[in-house]
Amino acid sequence: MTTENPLGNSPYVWRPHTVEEAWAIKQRFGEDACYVAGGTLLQLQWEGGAGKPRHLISLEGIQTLTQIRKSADEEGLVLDIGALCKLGTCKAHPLVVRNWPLLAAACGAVGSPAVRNRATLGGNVANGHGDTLTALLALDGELLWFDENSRTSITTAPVHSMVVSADMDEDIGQSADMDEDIGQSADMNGDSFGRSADTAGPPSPSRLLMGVRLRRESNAAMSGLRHISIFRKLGRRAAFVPSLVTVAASCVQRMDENAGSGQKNTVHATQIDHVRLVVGAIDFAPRRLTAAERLLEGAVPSPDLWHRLHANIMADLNPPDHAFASADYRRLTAANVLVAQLAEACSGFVKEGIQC
Amino acid sequence: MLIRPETMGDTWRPRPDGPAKVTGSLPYLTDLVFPNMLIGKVLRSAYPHAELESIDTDEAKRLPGVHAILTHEDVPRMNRFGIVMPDQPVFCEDRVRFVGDAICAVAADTAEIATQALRLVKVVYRPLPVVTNPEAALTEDAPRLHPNGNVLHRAGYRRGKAQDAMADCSVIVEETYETPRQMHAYLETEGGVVVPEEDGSITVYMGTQHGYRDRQQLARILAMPEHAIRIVSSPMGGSFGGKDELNVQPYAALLALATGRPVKIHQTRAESVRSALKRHPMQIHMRTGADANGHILAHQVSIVADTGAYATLGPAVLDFAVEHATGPYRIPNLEIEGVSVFTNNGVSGEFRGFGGNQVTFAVEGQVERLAAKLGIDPWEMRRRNLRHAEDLGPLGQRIAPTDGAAQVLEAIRRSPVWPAQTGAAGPVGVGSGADVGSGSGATGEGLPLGLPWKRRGVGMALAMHGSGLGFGRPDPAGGRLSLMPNGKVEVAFGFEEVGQGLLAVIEQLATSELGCAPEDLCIRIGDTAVVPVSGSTTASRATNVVYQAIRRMKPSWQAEMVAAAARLTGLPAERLRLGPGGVWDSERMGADRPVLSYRSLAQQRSQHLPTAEAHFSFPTTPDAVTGGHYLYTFGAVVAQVEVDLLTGSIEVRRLDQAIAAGPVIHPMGYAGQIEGGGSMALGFTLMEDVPMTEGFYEVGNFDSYLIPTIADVPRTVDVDAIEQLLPGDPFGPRGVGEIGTVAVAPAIAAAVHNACGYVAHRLPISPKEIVQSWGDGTAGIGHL
Ligand SMILES: Cc1cc2nc3c(=O)[nH]c(=O)nc-3n(C[C@H](O)[C@H](O)[C@H](O)COP(=O)(O)OP(=O)(O)OC[C@H]3O[C@@H](n4cnc5c(N)ncnc54)[C@H](O)[C@@H]3O)c2cc1C
Repeated sequence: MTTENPLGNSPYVWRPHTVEEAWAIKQRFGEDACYVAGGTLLQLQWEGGAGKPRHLISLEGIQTLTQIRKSADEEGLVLDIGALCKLGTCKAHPLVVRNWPLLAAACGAVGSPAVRNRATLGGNVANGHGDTLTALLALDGELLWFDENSRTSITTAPVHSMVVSADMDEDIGQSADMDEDIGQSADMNGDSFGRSADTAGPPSPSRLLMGVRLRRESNAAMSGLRHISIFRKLGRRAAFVPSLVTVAASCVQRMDENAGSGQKNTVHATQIDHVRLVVGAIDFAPRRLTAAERLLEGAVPSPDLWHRLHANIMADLNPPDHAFASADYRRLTAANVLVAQLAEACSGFVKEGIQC
Repeated sequence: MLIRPETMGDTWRPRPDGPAKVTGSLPYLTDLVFPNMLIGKVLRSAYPHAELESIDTDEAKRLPGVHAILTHEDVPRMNRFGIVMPDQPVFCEDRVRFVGDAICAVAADTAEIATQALRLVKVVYRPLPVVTNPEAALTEDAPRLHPNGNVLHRAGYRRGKAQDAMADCSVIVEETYETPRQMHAYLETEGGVVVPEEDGSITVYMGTQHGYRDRQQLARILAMPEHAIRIVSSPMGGSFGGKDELNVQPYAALLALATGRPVKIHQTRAESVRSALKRHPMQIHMRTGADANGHILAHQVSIVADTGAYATLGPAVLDFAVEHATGPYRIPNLEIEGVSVFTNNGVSGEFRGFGGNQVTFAVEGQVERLAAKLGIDPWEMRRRNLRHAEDLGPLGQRIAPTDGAAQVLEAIRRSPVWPAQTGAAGPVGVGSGADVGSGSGATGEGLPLGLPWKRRGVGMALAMHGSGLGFGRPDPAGGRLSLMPNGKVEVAFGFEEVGQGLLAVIEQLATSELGCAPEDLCIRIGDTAVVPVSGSTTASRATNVVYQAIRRMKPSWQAEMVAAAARLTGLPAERLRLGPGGVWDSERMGADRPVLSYRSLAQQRSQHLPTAEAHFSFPTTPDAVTGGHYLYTFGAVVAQVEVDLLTGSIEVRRLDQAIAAGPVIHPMGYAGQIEGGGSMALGFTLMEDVPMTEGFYEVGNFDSYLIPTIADVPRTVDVDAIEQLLPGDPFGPRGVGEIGTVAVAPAIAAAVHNACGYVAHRLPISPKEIVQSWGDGTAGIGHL
């Protein structure tokens, strides 16, 4: 993406109909070509002075990439969302809204309605610092890549492979000691979307994101459990804003059989599991707070637990300073929001669903 | 009268230019395209302060597609502009004073070629130390930005003995307030086209707020007679004061004259941010004392305004701030001084509210602090100090008597969220007891979900705002009314439609005063070739001028029309009156058509069609107080906010305003001005600022300079318009373009205080300071 013709000659736009074709064009031109989906981020980057490539490979004509497909096995529900799905579509899709409200909320937090009508989920993920990554990380999402250079053409990779360096332990939740600064390779002063520097991108420059896969346990497996999810994006105004801090959390909580008579929607504090806590922002790639997750895993909510969680996050999170928010403010608000909203959700006011 | 669609009857109608604007079909001047048109671009300074050693345009000139590159050497006469004192170079000669200073301008076949040409211009700068703030500018060893030093203007006012009176005060509050560098953020950036005409004249199709003054300024630069310059200046996609001063007109005009071809310049947003005016950031120190009963006895004010690199209307803005630093209050002992200081921080200038917004934030903050200290209800505190109808103006000058202050104070109490209506108690601080889980808030609206980290509060503020330019500044007004040969009634004013709804005001006043129908009218504005002098479209003055002019022209014009109709119809003149479509027989008003249509009247008369003109001055005080105003409007605001203790973010849930500005002409437009003004001021209060580092802007576009979106503005805004003027007041409707912006910030600040105990003295209010105002910042999880 280096050539720029000052006199404004537009790039050549390719319109392949299959992923194979798209991939082959990219192989052919390498650095001189770039995939374009909705083009919203690219446009912003060009506006900010980035050079235009000679060749644009539009993915819009690849029908298979626009679909949302549901399948089910004994483990539960599987949803494949095509990379070309518009964020607006995703946000409102009944299956997403019902089963992965966290992702619906994250899609709804990107830009404005006009941006969401063009911008794609794939473009948001592939650029390495989109708002949906924070949610997908908390949902243990997987990415489906097309890469003919790889053994199987289509590979799956966990979402965190987008945001941590490639040589990291595959399963982040298991790795004991993580470098504090993982995933924070960032443009320290970045504020606008277009200005953000490269974060850890896909390993093969040609590979093409086909979609995102989400799983949800079967109803049988979930009996007696409820999902809790939290998503909140903080910016300098209520909407259409670069994120100063985005938090996403997901966990399951056992429902107390004896509780609830008389008090509607209320359960007693009971053990929480499968905890995922994620913090990201416009200028730092989302990361899981693994130490805090371990603290909550299997624990029963109590005031003491929440205060320890707060202290843990404060000690663990090191966001960079930002032109409009200092590091300490970002750390504090991330900790406050995660703790308060989790505590609220786990205390049973909200039976199931999402807090934004 | 609450402005509500249901209660407005048939005056609740859209403005004439509404549908075309909303659907996007209305062409703006920046949309114009002419045959043979070139595109112009301006090279701005790479440094905020530097000596210019050389400018080499040779290589750029050789680029194919480039038709002209101009520097200071190509300016025929005066290489300066500026409304009050022309001190801003059209093109810099030997020195630059801000990053928006123009070095040269190019006209080329396309914008891309023009941009590339500017890259090829070689400018050698010798950077100078940057004057980054007014305090630094006022020190002895600060670099001098202008021959007379760094003080643009000083202003002040004294009455009684403030210092001595402090000794008699039971309480004194002292605070330094700071306000941001707000951007006008009009949707249409500066630009348009300048067309060289065959007769050697030029037509300038570019937005401004005063076509005739642009003409005068351009004539000085171009060495052309004023009559050889025609300014077409409407419609515009917003201005808010920001396009009052010249911006890119000189460059397009010089390039058009140099190339003999139409030249279009339309600044990108980034170019606009860099070069255009901003609101003056002010640092305002106030020391205010009251007796035990809450009567304010003494008020000391010191205002320091960062006026940036050049003057434009900086002196007048400071005068206005000084004048309004006492609010609508009677204060016997006053000591106000202000200074407007040159720095290398952009250029500050005219902006909706004109210095009033800054000082009102401060003076209302003082009243709140005094009330809190004395334990007096904030509403009552204001009542005890309020000016009376016959009182002199704030500078001791005679003003048109007005009861507006008392009217808005009384009216705003009726806001459904004000405690007088809800019976709720006073402030709830965060530290106040264990029960922080009162999501239902202070005012009982109730949250659907009682979130323990949310707090509600309400606050109020008052403002008084002068209209017109003020004593000592030429403030001509006027209009013209004529029957055109095609039978249309031409109503002409030298005003601009900047989005404020001027056409609706003219239409409403012309039809209600003259009797004709909207379809009978041909409204002419914004074109010096066809409109009379009406003065500037600023200072909340246009509505009033239209009203006064039509009232003045109406008797003679109507008489002439009726006399002509009487001669043509043979009916006695006493029986005839003007109505929709033509002249009607008053004894047969039930008829289905007029006895003589305007068209027949015009055709049969053919010569000497009835015409009337009005020339007068905007009403000014008879007392020689520079800048002192005569007509004032008043506003009161109640804000209800919800503060999130986890993050310090503030949601404004309600912003009710009571306005006393005389009769409402066009209700939708009136409400639009107040609601829109409220949103603009909400941005000023909560998010808008252009931070600068060493003279460079920290934001370059709307992705980092944030203005409110629909998600930030309150769902409910009540606009209560008080129309009643004092008996005998001849001046009619005052404008409401500014008043809706003035008292919003202090009302929101008071509401935040009420919600969570945080007292703001700096805008925009910092969420971080809110969160950190309680020890470790964990108040939001204090309930756990
Ligand atoms: C006004 C505005 C506001 C915005 N606000 C937000 C916001 O709040 N939050 C946020 O996260 N983002 C925001 N963005 C950035 C951007 O719009 C989103 O990240 C969007 O989801 C990108 O999707 P797209 O389809 O437009 O991507 P494009 O611009 O088409 O592509 C983005 C990048 O991803 C690559 N890419 C796209 N699809 C694929 C694929 N299938 N496989 C491999 N690579 C691919 C492209 O080569 C490019 O490098 C905003 C943008 C604008 C213009």
